[in-house]
Amino acid sequence: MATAELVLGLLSSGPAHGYDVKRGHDAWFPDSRPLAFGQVYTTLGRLERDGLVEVVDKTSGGGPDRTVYALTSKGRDHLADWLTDPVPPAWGSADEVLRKLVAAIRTGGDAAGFLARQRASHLRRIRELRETPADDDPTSPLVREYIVAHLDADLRWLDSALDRISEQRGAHQ
Amino acid sequence: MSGQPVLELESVEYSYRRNTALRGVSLELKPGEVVAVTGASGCGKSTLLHCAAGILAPDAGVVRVDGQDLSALPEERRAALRRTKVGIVLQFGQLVPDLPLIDNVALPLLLDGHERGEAHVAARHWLEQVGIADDADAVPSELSGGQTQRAALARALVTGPSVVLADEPTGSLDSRAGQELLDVLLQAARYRGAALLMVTHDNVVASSADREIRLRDGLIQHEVSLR
Amino acid sequence: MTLETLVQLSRSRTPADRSRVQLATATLALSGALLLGALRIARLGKGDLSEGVYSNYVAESGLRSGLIAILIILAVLTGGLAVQALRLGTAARERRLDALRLAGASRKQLRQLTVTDAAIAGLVGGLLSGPAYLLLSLLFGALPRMARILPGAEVLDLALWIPVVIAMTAAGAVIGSLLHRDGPLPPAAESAAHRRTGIIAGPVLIVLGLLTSRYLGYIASTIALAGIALLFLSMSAVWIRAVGRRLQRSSDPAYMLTGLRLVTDSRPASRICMLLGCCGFLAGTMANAIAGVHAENDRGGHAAFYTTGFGLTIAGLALVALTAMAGLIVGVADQLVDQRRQFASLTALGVDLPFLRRVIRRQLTAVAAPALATGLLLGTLIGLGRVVGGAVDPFEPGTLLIAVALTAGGWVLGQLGGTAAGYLLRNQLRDALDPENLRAA
Repeated sequence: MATAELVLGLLSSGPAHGYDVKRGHDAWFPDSRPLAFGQVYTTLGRLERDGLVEVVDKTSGGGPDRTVYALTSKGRDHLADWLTDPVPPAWGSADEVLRKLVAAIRTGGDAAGFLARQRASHLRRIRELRETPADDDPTSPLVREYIVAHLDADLRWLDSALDRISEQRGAHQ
Repeated sequence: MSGQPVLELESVEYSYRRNTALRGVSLELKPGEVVAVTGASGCGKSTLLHCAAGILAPDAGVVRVDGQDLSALPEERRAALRRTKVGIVLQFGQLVPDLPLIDNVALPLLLDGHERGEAHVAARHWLEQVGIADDADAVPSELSGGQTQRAALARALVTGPSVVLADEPTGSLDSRAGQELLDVLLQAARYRGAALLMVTHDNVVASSADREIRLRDGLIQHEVSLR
Repeated sequence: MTLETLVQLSRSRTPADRSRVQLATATLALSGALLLGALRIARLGKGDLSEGVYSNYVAESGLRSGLIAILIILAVLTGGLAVQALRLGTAARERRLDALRLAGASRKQLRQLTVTDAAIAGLVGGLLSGPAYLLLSLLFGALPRMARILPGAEVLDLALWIPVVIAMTAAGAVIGSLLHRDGPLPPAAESAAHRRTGIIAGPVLIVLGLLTSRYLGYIASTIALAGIALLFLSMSAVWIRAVGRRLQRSSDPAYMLTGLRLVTDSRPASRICMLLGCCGFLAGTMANAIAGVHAENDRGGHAAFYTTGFGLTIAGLALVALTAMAGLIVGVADQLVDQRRQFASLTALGVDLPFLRRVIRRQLTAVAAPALATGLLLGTLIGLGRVVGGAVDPFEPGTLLIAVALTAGGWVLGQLGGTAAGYLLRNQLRDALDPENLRAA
């Protein structure tokens, strides 16, 4: 996960508190899981250790929520490199759906039923996304379309998995 | 009246010369309900829609529109029922090529014996609803695929049907135009209070339904609520 | 459906449909004019008229009925062309009817639309037949006396015009009703059984007609002609498919494509084949008769009389044959428009214009040349005498020579027709090959 680089990106417009970084992230990716505070502070700590960010201000008490961070020039270079490099295509990552399906088939569970329910759940998610209008900023519609496209790809795979399972069942009968 | 299904299919079977498309499919559509029929190519979903529309006569089983058994009606009455109670949208609009949009949309009313002026008033209203009132005098060849589909939608709704049947309504459009049309379709059907049966292989279209019915080899494989 | 809607919807405004209706209207107008001519001559009454004013064909009461019969036969032949014209553009028309059906039109309404469309063509044709007759009578009036077979129109003839207008409207309606089909066309509806019946029934009718012509006169001639038509229709269907199959096995891609096109759509070709065959046959019988007259000049000494009659009939038949060829060409043009997408994909495979012109030329000549040649051969050999029940001359070796010459002539004419068609259709072919069509639905 490129949370570290995202945090660099969120700091690129100017120094900010950890709280602002979290809020900024959630505004960039409104349809994704919100960033946890704990993760923000561990990430900032690691970036500071690597010299990619620096503490520019510490107000009263000096708790982590009162610390203001800024990008170093090394951090700015790192961000630029990250934005230039393409992402290597993912390995067949065994996500939850695939794990459940394989386990269901191997253990003789109701794989077709699971797939049907999974389809419904994916379809519902697409509708939720379509029913709440995307924010009127340059990136929100992009993020939205990305998620829908991926759900759609999942659904297509779910479709062919359903067909394959039905065929196998037909062949065994 | 509310609660009574506007469209019922009971163990509908249909075979083409070489292959069997439907092997006994039953379904019900409640007023205002949106249902998506999905499945791989050749699973029988278009045949199902054509049977529901009365375009094809099933080999066995019953199709009821607003409680009326289609096969029990003479052809003339069946066509009239199709005209007034059922709206149909197919993949490529299927408009009459030489008629301007306003006449194309007014067509079901004209065929029903309405005066031209009166039919045009209703047609214009629906052209506005689907957002192409400015193209009322254009002929279909002058329009984009999205506009053609909107006109087909206006034509389907002009008689105030209780059910709209759509066969791959976005199939000929790119994803953006498709989504726009889908929104117009859902909105217009809701505005009219019509039930909507959509045959589609597009997951985005299917996701907007209250229910998904998935066909496989002419049978219902599963049916899930999306609400 | 109100009357306004009926009229509005029946008149399709697509370019293909418009040219189809114009062609049908024109042929029905010609047919109506010929019918008017027949009625005009019939109005002259039964007695003999002055040969100083009228052509002998009109003046002599015995010949008058023959002339009337010929005009009616020509009217029916041109009417047949209207049927052919209305059949054009079937695929596009079916699509239009499908769209109307989707909008909720019932079968009865669709039938009403088709019938109204054809009836309007008939009505307009009927209305045009009056001026057309006027024009024809003026034209014939300018010819030598013997050829003035269409008497000039009089005010009283307006009364004849009304029934012709009604008859043409009715003819249009009947044609429309006969051509209308409720469902989509089943592919290859023409069965082998149909063809077999035609091949057996055709010759039976011919023999029957020829044997009884002495006693039944025109009725027998009509039977024989119907036999010829039936025989040509069923034979040409077999012949065209055979040619098509043989061409398909050829290694020349042009031949192969020609074959494919003939096999996939043989019906319009075989109908035109029939029409050309019949025209050839009748022209052959006339040629035989002319030869007979010239062989023995002692027959009343009126060589001009006979030659004019036969010549005019041949001219009439040539007109019908030319129109039939035009029909065939328009039919091919129609196919081109309908299948422009396939043609455009041929461009992608490297097919160019000269190549396609060769394909079209072959497709047309394969139909026209044998039909004309066979018709002429049969007509010349059988002779007019046998068909109308007149005196039959003993068979002369000279006739054989004429038959061979005419057969060759018919073949050449068919070839020329194909070449002309290729030339006339060059723009349509270029349009059809346009890669732009790959995008059209």
